[in-house]
Amino acid sequence: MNELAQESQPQKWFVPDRDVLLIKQWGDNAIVYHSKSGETHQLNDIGTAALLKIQQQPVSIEALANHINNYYEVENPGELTIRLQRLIKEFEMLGLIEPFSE
Amino acid sequence: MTDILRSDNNFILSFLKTPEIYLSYTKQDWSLLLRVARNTNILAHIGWILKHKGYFDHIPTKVKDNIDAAQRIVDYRKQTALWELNRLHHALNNLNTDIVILKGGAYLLSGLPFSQSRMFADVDILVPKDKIEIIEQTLLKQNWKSMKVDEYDQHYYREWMHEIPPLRHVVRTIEVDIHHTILPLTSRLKPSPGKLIADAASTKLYGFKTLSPCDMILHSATHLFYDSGLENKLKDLIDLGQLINHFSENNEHFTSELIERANELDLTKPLFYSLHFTQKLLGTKISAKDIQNAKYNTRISNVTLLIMNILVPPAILPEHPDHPKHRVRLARWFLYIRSHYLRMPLELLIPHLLHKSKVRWEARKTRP
Amino acid sequence: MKLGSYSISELTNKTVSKNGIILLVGPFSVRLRTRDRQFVSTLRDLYLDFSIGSADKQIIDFHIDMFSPPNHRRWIKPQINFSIDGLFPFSPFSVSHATPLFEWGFNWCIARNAQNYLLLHAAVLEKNNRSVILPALPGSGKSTLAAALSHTGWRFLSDEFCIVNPRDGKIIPIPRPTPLKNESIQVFRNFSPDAFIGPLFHNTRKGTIGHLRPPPSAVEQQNNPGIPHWIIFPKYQSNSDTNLISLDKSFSLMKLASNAFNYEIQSEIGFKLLTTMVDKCTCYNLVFSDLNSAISQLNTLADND
Repeated sequence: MNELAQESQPQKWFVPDRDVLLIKQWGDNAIVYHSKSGETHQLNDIGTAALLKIQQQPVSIEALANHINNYYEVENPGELTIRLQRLIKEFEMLGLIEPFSE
Repeated sequence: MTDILRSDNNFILSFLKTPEIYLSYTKQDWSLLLRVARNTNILAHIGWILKHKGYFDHIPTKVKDNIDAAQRIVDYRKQTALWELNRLHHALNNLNTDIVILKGGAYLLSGLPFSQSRMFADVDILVPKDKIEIIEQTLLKQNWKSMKVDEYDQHYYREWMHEIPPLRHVVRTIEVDIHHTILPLTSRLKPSPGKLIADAASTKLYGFKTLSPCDMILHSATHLFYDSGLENKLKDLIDLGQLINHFSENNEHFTSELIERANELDLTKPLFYSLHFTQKLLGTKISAKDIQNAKYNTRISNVTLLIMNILVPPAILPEHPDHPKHRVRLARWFLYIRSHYLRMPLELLIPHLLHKSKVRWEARKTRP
Repeated sequence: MKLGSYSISELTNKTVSKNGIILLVGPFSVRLRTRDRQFVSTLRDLYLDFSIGSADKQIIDFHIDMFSPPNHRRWIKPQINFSIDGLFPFSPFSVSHATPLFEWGFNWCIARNAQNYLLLHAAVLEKNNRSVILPALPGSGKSTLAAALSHTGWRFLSDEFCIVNPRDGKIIPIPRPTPLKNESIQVFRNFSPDAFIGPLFHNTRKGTIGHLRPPPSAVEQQNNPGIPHWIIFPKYQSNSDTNLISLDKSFSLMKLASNAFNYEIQSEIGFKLLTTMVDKCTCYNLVFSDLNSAISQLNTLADND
């Protein structure tokens, strides 16, 4: 059933409890404190933009790539998607985000 | 019955029984309280009592600072443990098995007020015996690692104890102890884990369960009186007192239910000792009749009780740090031997103690 | 009453008694008991301007005993133990190394117990009522630089612990003696020939150590908190020119946090304190080899910023 859903709709990601993430931005970079795990992470520009977007509402990687493309003129959009896939995997491993099911 | 060690005059017990005593405290008394409470891991609990009673604003700043420090550590451990439960849920969700959280984690999930200031170290969970292997394998595949590598230890845990060797995730610091029963397999007491799991209560967190109120107390009681040397275990006795207080508050029949459940699970002795000593040392409100009823089925002789009355207080109570006493060490040694005797049959106990002293001896030899 | 106002004999009479002496050091009160007269004498030299309290006036944070272990080695190679409430965090030291053992033990007590504060691993100094935090990364030369600053008009707040009060984000001074190591002892003697450095302890786990007595004014002002204004990561690099380079804030925060004693334990409080602090401070890397030149750079910064 899960697989069917995945075929018809792209997988979305979300932040389970929005207020558990404390984000302090300095310029394009940010420090993120995750109050569930107690871990502190440093994010670069793309990481920050991606996490802020996911925190707002559940998004798919494709939507995320579009969003980031609007802000930063990325030279190679194909490469961006691959980078985002890796980023999402890392965010998930850190417990910052989870797969979203409607 | 005579109290050789006059536990009724004990400094820390006086505070626990009547916190109002703080009004008469001198600076020296506060220093001693901080010191003893810190050593016993109950400083945050002392703070909780003072806050709960509305006294916290009236105590010296220095005491507040030290209590805040202890509470910070408790909060950090709590955060770490809750996060570990979150990760366990993610890792084990697909197995669809009952997972019962034990001890500190359970007090927290059940919303017991005193758990906010209770120090705890590991995450303990109880699972059905036929699921333990798949759980262990699932966790090992997801970067939890087995903590004990020594072959003897592996064997000891799996054959004689009630758990598999503790696991720890590679990037985290907290240990997960997975049990399939609450006492060592070789122990004299054999409470049925099936009955415990069948009665377990649901919580709001990730579908995890906790033991029922009665079983929570019986588990804690069994550990304290049948699976430890009681040395410096005042914290565990306080747990028992707090649990009994909490569950009796809105249920006047709670103690009777507890006694009935202890009969069912064959845990009457640890329950009796718990009621007897929480009442005696902490002043927990339990009627003399309930204590008599609890004793009725235990076949504890008056001589045994006399010996326990002599040994338990000095072993369990913290000493004055500037005046350690020989008889305390002696009492602790007797109870240490007793706990091992209760945990395993004699033919297993002697090789185990020999192995332990051999390991200690070798550790000493390799020290620089 | 200050330590310096007692003779060594008077102090030893106190330290061998049941109640010991109570040292008031920064925000901590320490009860110390020992029978080692040599150690008491060094302690007096190093903590000369600190006050002694009394058990009926002060609530005590740490009860420290420095006694010889009861064993046969007493007659061959005398040893000494550090203990707090029956805990022995270290193996015994040779009795001649009682002072470094006490200093390390005191550090251990703070790092383990003082969780009511955010504890950064850094030296702290102050000029014009503004504090500079000098984080201690290996090979940073932080202690030497801090010692030199403390003898050229900067107020000395701390060498090892930057104690941040969560109530107001200010820094609580703890101006204990500074342990100078190996070559830096001579470097500092050349820099400030009149400063008092206690006996040298050879072959400790950190090599040779000599403790610099804090300036009397630093001890006098130990109850006045500092306000964080600069975070400067010193980096000693032989033969380099002095170079003060401004540093990205998020990078500075990660460096401070990962090098702190208890940032993780402070959880959300720690994150908020540290982001606020970094926000208010300007952050730099300071590469240096010459103390005078580094100090003049910092003076220029302090006077013009």
